[in-house]
Amino acid sequence: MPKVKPRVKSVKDLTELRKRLRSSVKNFKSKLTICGGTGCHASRSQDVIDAFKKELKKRKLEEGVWVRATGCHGFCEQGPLMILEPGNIFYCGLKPGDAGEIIAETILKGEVIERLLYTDPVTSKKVRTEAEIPFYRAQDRQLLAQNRHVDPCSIEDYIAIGGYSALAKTLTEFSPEKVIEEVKISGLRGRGGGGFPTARKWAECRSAPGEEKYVICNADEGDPGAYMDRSILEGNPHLVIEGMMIGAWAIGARQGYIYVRNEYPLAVKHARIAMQQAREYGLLGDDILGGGFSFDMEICRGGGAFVCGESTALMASLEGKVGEPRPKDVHTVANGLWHKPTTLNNVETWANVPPIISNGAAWFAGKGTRGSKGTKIFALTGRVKNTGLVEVAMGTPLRTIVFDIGGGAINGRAVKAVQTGGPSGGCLPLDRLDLPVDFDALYDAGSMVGSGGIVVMDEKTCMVDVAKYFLAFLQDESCGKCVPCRLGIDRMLEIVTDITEGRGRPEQIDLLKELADTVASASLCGLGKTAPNPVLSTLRYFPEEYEAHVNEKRCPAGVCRELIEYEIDAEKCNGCGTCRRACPYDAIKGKKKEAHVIASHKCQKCGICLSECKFDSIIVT
Amino acid sequence: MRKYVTLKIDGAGIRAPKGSSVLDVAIEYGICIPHLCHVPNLSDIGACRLCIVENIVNGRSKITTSCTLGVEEGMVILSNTERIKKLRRNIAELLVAQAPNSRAIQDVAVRCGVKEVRYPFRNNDCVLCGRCVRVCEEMWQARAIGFVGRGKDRRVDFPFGVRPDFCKKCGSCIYLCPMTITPCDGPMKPGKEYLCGKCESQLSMASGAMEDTCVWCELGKGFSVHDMVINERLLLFMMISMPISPSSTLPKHFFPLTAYPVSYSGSAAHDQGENCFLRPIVPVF
Ligand SMILES: Cc1cc2nc3c(=O)[nH]c(=O)nc-3n(C[C@H](O)[C@H](O)[C@H](O)COP(=O)(O)O)c2cc1C
Ligand code: SF4
Ligand code: SF4
Ligand code: SF4
Ligand code: SF4
Ligand code: FES
Ligand code: FES
Repeated sequence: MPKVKPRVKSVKDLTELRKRLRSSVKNFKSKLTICGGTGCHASRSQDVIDAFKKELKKRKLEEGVWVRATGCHGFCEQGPLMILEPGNIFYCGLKPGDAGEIIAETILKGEVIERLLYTDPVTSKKVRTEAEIPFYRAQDRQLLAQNRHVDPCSIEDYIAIGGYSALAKTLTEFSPEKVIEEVKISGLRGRGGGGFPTARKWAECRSAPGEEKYVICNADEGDPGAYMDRSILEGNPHLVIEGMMIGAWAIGARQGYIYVRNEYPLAVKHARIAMQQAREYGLLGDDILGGGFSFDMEICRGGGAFVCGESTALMASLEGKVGEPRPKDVHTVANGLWHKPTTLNNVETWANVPPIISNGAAWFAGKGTRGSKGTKIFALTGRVKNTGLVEVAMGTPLRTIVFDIGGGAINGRAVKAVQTGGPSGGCLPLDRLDLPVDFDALYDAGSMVGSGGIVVMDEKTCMVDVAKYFLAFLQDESCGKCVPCRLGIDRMLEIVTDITEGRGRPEQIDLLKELADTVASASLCGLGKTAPNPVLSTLRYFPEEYEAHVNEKRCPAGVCRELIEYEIDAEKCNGCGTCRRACPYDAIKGKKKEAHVIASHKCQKCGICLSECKFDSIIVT
Repeated sequence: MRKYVTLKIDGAGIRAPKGSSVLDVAIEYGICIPHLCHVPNLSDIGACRLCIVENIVNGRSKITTSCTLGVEEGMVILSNTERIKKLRRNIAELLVAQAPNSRAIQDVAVRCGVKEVRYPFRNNDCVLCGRCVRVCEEMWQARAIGFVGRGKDRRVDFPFGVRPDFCKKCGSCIYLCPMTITPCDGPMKPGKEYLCGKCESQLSMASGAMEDTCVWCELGKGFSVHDMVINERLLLFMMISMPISPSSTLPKHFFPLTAYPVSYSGSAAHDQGENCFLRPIVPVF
């Protein structure tokens, strides 16, 4: 790698630099790609990387083996993981102690270590390469796949795989209007939640009066369980920067900001390093690539609230004010940051821009459905076998994601519902899983694509309890400025809590519906406008669960504490006494080898006996 | 030169200066859109959402608050459709359940057609309308009070909870606060929280003869003007606020709509909250 960074002053310089970088890589015999993303980092991938470096040094193999730490590969649950070239061998669940064996066996002898291969949970067979793993097989990884080829702290890696060529193409071949036209043909819609057509936003911002304009990248990602934006910014920051530069060129901005959630230190670090490197190469600053375009950017750390991801709150926070939404009767494309025209896009939206320019709008528009193009990254979580980041073409049925990629529910249970779109998305029942992931189709079904969270729920999930959980989250996160959201969510939560605790009255269900409509229609910002979705969708698809709670004071899934009783089935109980010893409240009595009984007045419904009993004798009614 | 636009509010053709809000213009023309957080000459934050209207754009109706909506040429605004009335009623119901002990809030609720309250009452001292915060910041440049906390914990307070030296003790905050209006002597006592409807300003009214009249104005004649503490402070406030009115003439209801009649002794918020931030402020005029 070059020690002194030459400034890249023209497109020709960039092409030559890329050629040089590519040829220098060819000298390595083997390449180790180890995931250093936040997920794998938590399972000590840094120790694994250090162990490899140490071991290679000891064996004097540093010259022939290239160790690269990359961003997230999406399958964090199996981490730390690595890919070994040649052979594309995929090892997972690594420990620092495995380094020696891998070097001795696989790198030197070419033998595969069975123990470290991934086991397909369906067939129980060992799988050698990433491509054969069912989790990856059904995906279409346009953005995420790049992560494995770049060290996030190395601009050289990014340039070597063709990075900044889209920018070069833009500056030399495209007028700003042509860029917007290209994005328009591609059909790209915002990945941050609303699905707003990106080209329309850019065009409005471009035509808004004013000299000074800004582009902002929204990396506030506050949805619980979501981490696609983090994985991109952390794993491939230059992709986002390049996308923002192309956008800035299109709308006429000279300054950009990346607004990163405070809890993402690694993303901040990598983005900061990336910007520094780009500046050293002259890819940020004045007269970029000799095209007369000047642009620079800054990083700003988030205000630490979910609502700070909302566009006007984010801009207020960037200005140093309290991160609270304001009415958007004049759009931010005309009156945004410091009252200047501003384009705000999500991390994933920006990341999609360079490939659209490089591969052409038609390539992007070739994937997806009529109204939703390209690929989208989802964070698959919940009661599903394989969890992780999943990138699929728009239009892929939810069923494919949950069953083919996710492997279905854990513990052999049945999938009952899938919640999409984050905390203000909706719950869809099993018979709706043939719905494609598509902005409009999911919206019509009462849910949304949102930022891309998918939570799988099994038969042991109570849908009223789910609604309560999301309401409580949103109540906590509401900024409290406007009445419908602050008081409306609070009252909805009050009613749903009544229902789960056995105080529900039939007329409250109608009140809940009316209230949901009021909050959705009259709230100031998107948080309030979408907050009723969890309630509305569960009321729509699972009315019988609400009715059971209200009319029969019964929780069909056996979740709501106030409505359930623990009992011991005398037929099945053989008097082993495990439950008696396990119960922390001393609620179980019984003689050895005789059926035990639970004293209901003492039972605190902790559920410990249920998980302890080996004979399935504890029943929840 | 002032630029004018023409728009339609509830079918009436209206000529209005560019830069004014739909709410200001509507009030000026005698179309009373209920509102709470709006105060003429202070900035609008769209917090109470009572002033919602339907803005018809390309045949599609968009619901938005009229206080934050600037007038535009050819606009079509509907302020009193069934949908709006229903939403407004629900919002007012949420408010009155939160602060049943304020006559101002009761009156707003009446005006919006609330007849029953379907939620358990809470006795809050503040509805977070932000009138006090904005008058302090914008009229007096004092910023002695502000919002703290988020969501459920949001409240108005002094910086670090202590009244700062730069509080001008002007009393404007109390003046504009809807919670400081003496409620009727009737049943609004902690523990016995129900709206009895006996008092003229209370909920029964909406079903009676006064339906669809603006309670604020009508009642302004009926009960409040007498109680109004007209003093130099109020006059000063009016003098300061008048010349910078965004609209050409001030609404004729200017007074009852901006300042509630206030009597300091026996005001609800003062008597109840031990920690009411308004307590330590002694008007100095
Ligand atoms: C309460 C709330 C939270 C939001 N949080 C985020 C977020 O974390 N990340 C994000 O990209 N967009 C978020 N958004 C959406 C943004 O307001 C905005 O629409 C988006 O960043 C625009 O980018 P896009 O067009 O690329 O989607 C949020 C919206 C609301 C109402
Ligand atoms: S809708 Fe909720 S989060 Fe948005 S401004 Fe109103 S109170 Fe704040
Ligand atoms: S649920 Fe908990 S408290 Fe109740 S009997 Fe079982 S172990 Fe004891
Ligand atoms: S009395 Fe103090 S806090 Fe109230 S408006 Fe005047 S300066 Fe502000
Ligand atoms: S103290 Fe009064 S004026 Fe201030 S926000 Fe609360 S209710 Fe409104
Ligand atoms: S962090 Fe390693 S796969 Fe996600
Ligand atoms: S008066 Fe418009 S929102 Fe309160």
